[in-house]
Amino acid sequence: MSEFALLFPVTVFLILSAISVVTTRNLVHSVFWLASTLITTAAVYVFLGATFIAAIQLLLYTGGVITLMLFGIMLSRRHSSTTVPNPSEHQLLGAVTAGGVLVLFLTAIWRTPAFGRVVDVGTSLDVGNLFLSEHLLAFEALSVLLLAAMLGAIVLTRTSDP
Amino acid sequence: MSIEHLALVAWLTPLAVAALLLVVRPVRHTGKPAAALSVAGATVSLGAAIAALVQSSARGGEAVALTTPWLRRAGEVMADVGVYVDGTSVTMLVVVTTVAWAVQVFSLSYMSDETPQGLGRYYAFQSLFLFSMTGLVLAPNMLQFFLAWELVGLCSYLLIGFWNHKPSAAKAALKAFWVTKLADIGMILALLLQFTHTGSFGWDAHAAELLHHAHVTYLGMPLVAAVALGFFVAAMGKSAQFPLHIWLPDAMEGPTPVSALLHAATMVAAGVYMVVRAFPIFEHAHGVLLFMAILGAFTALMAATIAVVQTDIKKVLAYSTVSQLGYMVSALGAGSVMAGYFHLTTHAFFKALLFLAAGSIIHGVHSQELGEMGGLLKKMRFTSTVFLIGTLALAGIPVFSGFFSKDLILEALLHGTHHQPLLWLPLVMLLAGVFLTAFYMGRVLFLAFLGEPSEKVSHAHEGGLAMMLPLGVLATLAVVAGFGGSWLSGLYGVEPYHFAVTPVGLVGLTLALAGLGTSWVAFGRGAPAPWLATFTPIGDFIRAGVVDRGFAWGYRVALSGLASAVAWFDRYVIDALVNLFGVLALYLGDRARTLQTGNVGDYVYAVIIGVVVFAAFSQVML
Amino acid sequence: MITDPRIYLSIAAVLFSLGVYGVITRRNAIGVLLSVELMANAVNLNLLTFGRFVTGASGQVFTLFTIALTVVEVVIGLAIVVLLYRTRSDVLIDIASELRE
Repeated sequence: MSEFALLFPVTVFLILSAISVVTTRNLVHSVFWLASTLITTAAVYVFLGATFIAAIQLLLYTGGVITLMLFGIMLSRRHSSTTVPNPSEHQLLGAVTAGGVLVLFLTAIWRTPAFGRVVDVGTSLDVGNLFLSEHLLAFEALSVLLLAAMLGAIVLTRTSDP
Repeated sequence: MSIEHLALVAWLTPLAVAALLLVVRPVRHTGKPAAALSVAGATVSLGAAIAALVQSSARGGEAVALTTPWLRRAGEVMADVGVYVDGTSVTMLVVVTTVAWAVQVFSLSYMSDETPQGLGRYYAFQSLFLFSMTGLVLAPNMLQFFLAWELVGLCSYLLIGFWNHKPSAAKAALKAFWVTKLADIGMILALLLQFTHTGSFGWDAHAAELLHHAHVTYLGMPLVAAVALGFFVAAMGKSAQFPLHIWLPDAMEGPTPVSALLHAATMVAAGVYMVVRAFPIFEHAHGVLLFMAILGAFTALMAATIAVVQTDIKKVLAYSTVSQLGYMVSALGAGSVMAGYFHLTTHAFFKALLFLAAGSIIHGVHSQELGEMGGLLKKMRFTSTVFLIGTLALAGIPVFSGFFSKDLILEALLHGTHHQPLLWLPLVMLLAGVFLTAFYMGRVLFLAFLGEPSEKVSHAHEGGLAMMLPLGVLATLAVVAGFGGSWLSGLYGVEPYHFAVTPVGLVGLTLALAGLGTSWVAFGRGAPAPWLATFTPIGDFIRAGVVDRGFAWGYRVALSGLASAVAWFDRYVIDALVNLFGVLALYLGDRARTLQTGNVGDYVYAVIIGVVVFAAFSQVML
Repeated sequence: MITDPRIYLSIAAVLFSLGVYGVITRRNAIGVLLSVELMANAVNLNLLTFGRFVTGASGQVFTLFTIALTVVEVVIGLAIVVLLYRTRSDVLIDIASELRE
């Protein structure tokens, strides 16, 4: 029960952060709220025993992706101020659709009888072993994909021939 | 080496040579060395075949086999491949390798004008043919036989069209290919029927029993008759029986040694050989046998009449081959394997001899027209002698091999009339054929060798040793093969054969002598006698080529009628359907394009709707 | 100890729905990208939940895969945004509609 007592406030903060991400009018704030969401999610990962992934989440997302996002924002505007408009429209349509999706998913989840049991999720050593044995092909394919993405980003954004 | 290993050597040596020559271009393009290699391969093959015959003969033609399973299907083996050697196949093996060897040696001289590339190609095909034909002869079951059968058909196509720069040769090659393939449909159907109902491709007595006891009928025939008929249809194509004989005369467009090997001695006899092998199956199909007897005899007579009026020496021999194959088929139809097979053997030797001798003449005279020959006796003594031997053998004059086998055929038919009176009909036709055979062969002999030498003949001379050696070997065999009858009957495992003078044999001999005598009267001076002009209308009628015209008419009327019906259906039904789909797609596309707003938000919304539908669907289904 | 995976799944469902809302309503391309990140995060949470309660370590392996994929997506997405800005001087998604028929 004590675990639940810990999870509850974390969840509340997580959801509030996520709501802020999609409603804040300032894009820079939105990005920081996303960072907050991601960090809180990392906390939830710890509840799930995935400490290694939680660490990766902090490093990659909050360290890398958020920085990238900020760079993207700074590179795509005229005036140098921290107030970047992030307008919304069709709020009603979005709310109805998102609400429909949520209802559908929650129905699906809670119609399913409770299943599974807590299993040993292993350590980062197990994860690494799985990566280099059972999922080696996917691992290699992923490395090729990352390389392709790197090249793609360079090709897309370069201004002209040097 | 044991018999089966010798047979394996005889079979696979030509394959090695053929593979080398076909795959390695530089070797093939050397010409003469490639030819020598091929001849060496044929010699090895011949040696192995003779050694196998000697050993097999010592053991009374006992069957031995060396096979390996092939085409596994769900753990079961569909068929074996390998070699099956018994008295029948080992003698046929020797016949094939002997004639092939003789032809390959003969070709060294005959084809010497070819370019090195052409010569290499020729010998590559020759080796491929020898491999295919020995594989056919040694086949342990119908499946390997069929594959080899198609392979020899391919070699036939390649070799008829060897001079592919000649349009007529290319056309003849295609004709041969199409006609035989048409007939092979029968074989495919028969094989499918046999395998479906008995699960085997065998052709021995056991397989025949299985077929015989299957209670299935096709087109009102019991299964075994349907299978036998299918096989025989294929044999009709390959062994040039009426009405599918039309490809064989055209096949003379190929080089003469090829005609000797494929279209006289071995490949065309494959159909007869198949009936001999599969005779246990045929034995159960009396209707098919009677059909064979009558059709064979009719072919024999008809082809002989056509041979009488041909002016091309090779065409005469070609129709003669059709005719003699008819004799073999008829003998088999009368139920005598020994008679048909004996004639196959002797015919292979003397007809190959005749063709090669004709080749020697063509090589010397540079013409195939009988009218441009004459007086060759003075210029080409050796060729004249061996041609005379071949003629006498073919005409069925005693001492020469053709006499014994033809005599046996006539006796077999006479014997058959005891329980099947209808066999009198083929017997009479065959007797008439004997007269005509002697007549047209006498005609060729007298027109070509007697009389005054023409301009072209005056420059004629004998070919080299490479031509004379095979001719000598074949001439010897054409003389002595007839005396091997009783020995061969022991090898085949049929009732012992002993030559005996019989009334029907005497009738046949009398007719043969009469035929020769008549032709002496008509052509004895090396030119047609004047009174022959009265028969010109008959000759014109025969020359008109009724069967060929029938095919042409059928092709024009039936096929083009069918084609226009199909074309109509294609244009107004199938095309209309296709057009309908096209118009429909255009219309729908026109409608669907409005969905492409170019607005990213809309696309995102569409994706989300897709996700929701997918999730909802999973909920409904679970 | 929480033994019911449905609790975590519900949290993920809420995150995903918020992502859907964002994707539909945001007009700024970067805003849309942020919402997509939310949805991806929800997916990761699901994967880890199933790893925790059903499959064990391979849940984490798959999460790592999706994290890498998300990074790729962000990289390409931002490259496109920068390109869009360079050609249109703005990053509102409805200005880029050349793909219309």
